[in-house]
Amino acid sequence: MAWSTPIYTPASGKFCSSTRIPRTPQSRRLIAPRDTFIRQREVTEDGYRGLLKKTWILYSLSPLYNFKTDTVSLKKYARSLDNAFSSERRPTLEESGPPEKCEFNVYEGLKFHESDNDALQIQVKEENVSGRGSTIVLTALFLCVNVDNVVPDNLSSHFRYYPVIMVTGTKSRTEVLLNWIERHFDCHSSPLTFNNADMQWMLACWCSQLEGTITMPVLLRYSVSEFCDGISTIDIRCEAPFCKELWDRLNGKEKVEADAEDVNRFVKAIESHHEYAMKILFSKLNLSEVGTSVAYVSKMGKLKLFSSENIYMALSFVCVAAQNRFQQLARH
Amino acid sequence: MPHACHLLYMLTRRQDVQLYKVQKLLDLINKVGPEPGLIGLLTLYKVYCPHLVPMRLDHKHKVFFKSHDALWRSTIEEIVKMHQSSEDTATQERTLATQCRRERAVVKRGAKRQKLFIPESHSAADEIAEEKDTETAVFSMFDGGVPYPQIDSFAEFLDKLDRIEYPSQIAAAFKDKRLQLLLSCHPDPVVLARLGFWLQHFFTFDFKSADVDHERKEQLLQLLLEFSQHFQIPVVQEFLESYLPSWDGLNFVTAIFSLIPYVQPSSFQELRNILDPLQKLFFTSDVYFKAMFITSLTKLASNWVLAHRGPVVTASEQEHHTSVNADSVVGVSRVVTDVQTGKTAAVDPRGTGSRNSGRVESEERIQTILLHLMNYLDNVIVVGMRMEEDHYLLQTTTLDLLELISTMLQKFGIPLLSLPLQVIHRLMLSDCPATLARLCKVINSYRAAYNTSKTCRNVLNKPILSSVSTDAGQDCFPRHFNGLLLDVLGMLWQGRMFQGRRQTYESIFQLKPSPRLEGVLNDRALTIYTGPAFVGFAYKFLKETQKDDKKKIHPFQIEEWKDNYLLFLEKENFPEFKDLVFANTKSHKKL
Repeated sequence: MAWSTPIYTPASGKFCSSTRIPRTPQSRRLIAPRDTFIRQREVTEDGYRGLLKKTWILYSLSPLYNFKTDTVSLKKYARSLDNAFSSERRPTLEESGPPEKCEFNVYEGLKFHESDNDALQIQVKEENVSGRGSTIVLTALFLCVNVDNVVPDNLSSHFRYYPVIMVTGTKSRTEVLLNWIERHFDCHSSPLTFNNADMQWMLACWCSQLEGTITMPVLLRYSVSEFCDGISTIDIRCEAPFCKELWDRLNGKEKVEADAEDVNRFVKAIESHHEYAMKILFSKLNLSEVGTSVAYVSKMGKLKLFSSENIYMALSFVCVAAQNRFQQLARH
Repeated sequence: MPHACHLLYMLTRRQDVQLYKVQKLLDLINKVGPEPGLIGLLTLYKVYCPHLVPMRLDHKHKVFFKSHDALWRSTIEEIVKMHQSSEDTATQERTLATQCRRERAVVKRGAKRQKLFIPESHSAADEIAEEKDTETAVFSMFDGGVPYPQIDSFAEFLDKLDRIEYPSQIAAAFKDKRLQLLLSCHPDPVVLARLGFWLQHFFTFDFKSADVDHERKEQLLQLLLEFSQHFQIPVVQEFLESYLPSWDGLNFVTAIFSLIPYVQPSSFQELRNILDPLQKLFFTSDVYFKAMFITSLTKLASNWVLAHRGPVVTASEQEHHTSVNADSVVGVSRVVTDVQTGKTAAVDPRGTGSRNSGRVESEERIQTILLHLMNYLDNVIVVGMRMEEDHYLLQTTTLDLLELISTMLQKFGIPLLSLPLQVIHRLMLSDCPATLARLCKVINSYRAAYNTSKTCRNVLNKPILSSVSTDAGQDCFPRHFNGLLLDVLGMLWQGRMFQGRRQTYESIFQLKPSPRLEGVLNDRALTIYTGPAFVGFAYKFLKETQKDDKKKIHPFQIEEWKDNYLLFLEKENFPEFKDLVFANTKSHKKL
């Protein structure tokens, strides 16, 4: 029996259609606008030294509702957070511990673009047992560097968007802080992790900047525990000047912005060189940690900053990665 | 100090509890220890404002304040009892509410980090808002706002509906029906944005994380499904578009297919972002997945149809206007019935002047999407049926879809005529009588819909979007439908499947058999008395109507008693065949 109409099978063109391709970043800025960076750096009291050489844990945040950064509001928040810590540290009235004091203040020097929100720092200080002075037991920083606002204009007066909060402190205190933020500003927090594409971006772009004369080697750590027993990671270490020179030769010395093609070219070059030398297919593995003289990052959301000169690049990548992920579900 | 505490205990009202007072009390407890009076006062603070006193209080002190005079105590107790008996209902409810809050204040202490999957209703943000500046000593209570966690009964909820303040974490609405009711009564865009951002962040960062267990994800999807039945949340569609490409077709199957009917794409191309990954799974999964796929998309179409239904032209109106000259139509008011309200109303025959252009555009967009969706399903379902060898489950779900499509104009007022011919032709060859019966009903529905469409075009001046899946032209519907009708009647009733007929209408039985098949192909092979679907009925009919001693019986003998056989099938709960024949053959129309 002949059909009057052709029968379409899955292999035919009729069913093929363009599937939605996940968005990848088109291009990212490598260095901050020069004059802005100089102006911002002069504003900081210690030239970002308070941020450097500390291990920060990164968390992503949804837009905060009714969050204000004026002095009066910050004082209220500090008192409220004091209360949260004190009740957490004292589950019953019988138990007691050294009191903790919270401070909220605007962190100057991280507003590289007009549209960025002011960075906000929270410090939790615990009184010393001796009674003299106090120790900072937790520091948190709300970051918004080079990020598009995800909040529609008609709602911008009600919400403030910080894509990332980075925290250094104990896990229990961090939980108290995040819980407090969620309860008081109706937001959702989650540990920020990076996928292989993000790690490659950070590797490539951070290698493009050489910090000082004595530099740390570039570290590429690949996770293999899911493929083979007995080996958890494979490390590659390269000289930083070598990576910088490779970048310059592939993409040009004076590049201000990098795109996906530049990144892929650079990463492929490094990996193929080591694949030839070590007979291991690094291109099939996922990066779990990346270390450069700019910063160290792990895919589980740990960040360590080394360079105040390149702090813009490090923080903007982290913020933009969080924002891009959040906006994958945003309606156009 | 005990007396001062006792006095404060008696005097303190809810609006008197403030954070600095709680902290002072805690400092005092630190200095002097957990005195009963201080604990009693703190307990009262906790009852009124649990978010200001989150720590656990030990209730070993049953009596916080000693009574020094037994006579006074007994006198006071008598007076309280007298008052209690004459208390009105409102006071008793308040007492009960305070008791409920007291119990809640005792129980609350969860894990170290009290991160609940879906947060509970609380007004923690009021703690920051309550600390007003000294210039403006206005409390939220005096503003008239009532925090939602303080609403204890439904009666109170209704009474204070316009003054209720939303909880600090609006995601609590997923578990709280009352809060959902409040959202539907007062759909504040800011509140919905809070909910949307929370959901968007959760699905982006937590849903795909291995740290959140499977059961919780399923629970959230279920809660989301219940929520989506009342509220449209754009995040649901975006989540599906993001999740489905990596979906294995096994996890959360029920929840995913239940969520799909609630998407609202702005174009068919946007809907393809959901359909494409599902299509790949459709072709690689079992028949149950295929059935769920078809059912889900049928429900999706049904939801759109219900959301955009329009006024329906009644049968009496059709008959009236088919006999009226078109020139005299203008100026005559007519009555249409709104299916939704059941009310009748006079309508300007020149049609849609009263509807704004935005609504018209939206309806046209939905009609276009529906049309493309039907054409898409026509292609996909046929392949699925071939893969599953026309499984009955697929036949049933496909017929549900056809019944919806064929009645869009009649029942829901959607000016759309879509004829998925490939699927219909496939179903015609089914060996299940129920399938064939429902198919006949669908064909009759199409006929009625087409007649209605003529009225809509000529009288109401309402454009009808029509298409046949195999032909993009708009005017081809009558031609294809007539061809289909002739094929069905020829196959089931007349026993003239392969006989050539005029080339006006195409036929699926239009073929030239090879020489070795000549004489073998039987025109009457698929009639209602000889087809494989009807063997049992034919035998039963002959058993009932023929003499017991008759030696040779054959279904062909039914041919001269076809009309009686139709009545027999009607008696066997298959009236559709009779309806089809009576509505579409001239000889029976006259009856």
